[in-house]
Amino acid sequence: MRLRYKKLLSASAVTLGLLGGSLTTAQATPRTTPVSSAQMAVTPKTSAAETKAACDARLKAARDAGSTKPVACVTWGTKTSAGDRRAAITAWPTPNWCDDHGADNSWYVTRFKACGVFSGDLTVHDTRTGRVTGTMHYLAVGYAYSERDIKAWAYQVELVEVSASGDAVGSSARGKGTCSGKCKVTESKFPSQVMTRDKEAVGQFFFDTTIQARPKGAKGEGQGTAHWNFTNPKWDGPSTELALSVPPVRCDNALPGTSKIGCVMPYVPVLVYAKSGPYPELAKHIQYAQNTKHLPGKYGTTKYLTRLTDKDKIKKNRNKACPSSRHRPAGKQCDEYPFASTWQGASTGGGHFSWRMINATQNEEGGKALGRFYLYNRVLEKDRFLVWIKP
Amino acid sequence: MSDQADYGRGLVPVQYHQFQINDEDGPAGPDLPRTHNGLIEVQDGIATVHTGIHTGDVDVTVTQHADAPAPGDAEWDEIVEVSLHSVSGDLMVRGLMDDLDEELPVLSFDGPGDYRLRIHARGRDTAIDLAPDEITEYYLIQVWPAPRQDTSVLRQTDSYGTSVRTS
Repeated sequence: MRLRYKKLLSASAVTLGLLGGSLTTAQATPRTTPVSSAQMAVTPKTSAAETKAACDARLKAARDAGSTKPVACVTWGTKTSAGDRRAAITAWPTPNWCDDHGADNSWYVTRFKACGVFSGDLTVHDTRTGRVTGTMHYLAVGYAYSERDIKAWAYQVELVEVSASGDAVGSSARGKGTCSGKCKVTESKFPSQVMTRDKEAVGQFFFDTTIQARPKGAKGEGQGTAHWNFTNPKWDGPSTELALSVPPVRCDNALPGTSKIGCVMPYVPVLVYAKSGPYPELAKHIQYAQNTKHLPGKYGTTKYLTRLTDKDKIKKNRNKACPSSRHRPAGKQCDEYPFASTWQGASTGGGHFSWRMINATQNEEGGKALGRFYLYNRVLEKDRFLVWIKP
Repeated sequence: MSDQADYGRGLVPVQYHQFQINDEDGPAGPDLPRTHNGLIEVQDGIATVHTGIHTGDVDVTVTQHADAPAPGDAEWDEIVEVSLHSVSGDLMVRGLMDDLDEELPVLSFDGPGDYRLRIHARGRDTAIDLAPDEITEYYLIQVWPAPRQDTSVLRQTDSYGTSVRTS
């Protein structure tokens, strides 16, 4: 593994071992509380109509050429149970939550990881009659991860055989990675690998953002795609191809407080304050503001807060919610919600807000946590987020 | 008194009563609680300077020195000396949530290593918990390369510092 990926690999605790040798690295301490992954649809993925048309074309071409060898085609399968997933050994670890939903052909994302289990079928046809002479059912486990302070991201696809019969037995998979948008492929490893019930085929790809490090303020999305097909000495050439795109990754150098480029997945991050945590007065105030005053930002709703970075507007928000005329009792500071650093703040949000005198230390420490949350989740101007008040 | 290597002065954005001193590539030091001196604390490797204002800009001067200079004169309300480490040579003054319009001189001017910072503050009692439009607080950070030593308090006279130390 190249040295420049070392940090990316170590930070995500991935075990990678392609073509012999493996690199196991220690788990980095998570800096933000993971909440839960969110399901999302991603296009393009090879459509059912496309795979059918490609297969028909291959069969016709083989017939026209007078071939007597079978032709293999790949298609996406229907949703299958989690039992299928456990039918094979997983060689490379993916996040624990990755297969929570079985092979439901969906991506699940957190701010820095995306994972999904997709069901695929390989069907081998007799060239003359079209009769099926072999099938393989397999799962494609896609996993991508980025880091808050690295300009690269990684994408791995594992093809796990669930069952195979007839002319599909003993097939090999191979492929490549591509990317579209503001990215370039820096490494694409998906050599031909024979698939068995005990051995999956693995493809690994690294991408770099192509946004510039300077001047500050740039951001751009890139989308990685894995492509693969199958070969078998019994067939008339390789199978048709499938492609699986990972959710678009946004990289930026537009985050206040850092000069580093970083990349995030399309997931709305959640700031967590607990009433039993270090800032109980702050947590209680936000809970009151969200539940009683029905102010936006509550976790579980789609009334998002959006970050505001204009210093003058932030000051106006602050001065509307907490003007100097409000008396501060000793040891207390004025707390406002929605935060002054959001477009939903007292002035920019249209006048719906809550203020309360709370413990000064809790206000400052809660503000520090908000600053770290913005930094560690790369929450940019107008980025959405939510606030979860835990018991 | 030593030769001054470089000097810079500018506005530093403050939110939630704080601005930061840190090196993005590694911890600047072990934890130093906010109640220790009420001016500078260290948490999770990031140093925080406590300001009287809640939101706005403060005036910060950075002076780099080869050796320990004389501390600032009687105009300063609070003076604390702290040792901070720079992993990458990028120990800087930063906003909690904002970039500086113009960066101040880097504090780790001699590359990665240990530095002594003498933080001076005045005006913290002028606009406590407010977001004033005018500049009401001033800071002077003297920095020189020096092995790690205990934090030392040279002066404590403002009431905002008292409130942080006792909270």
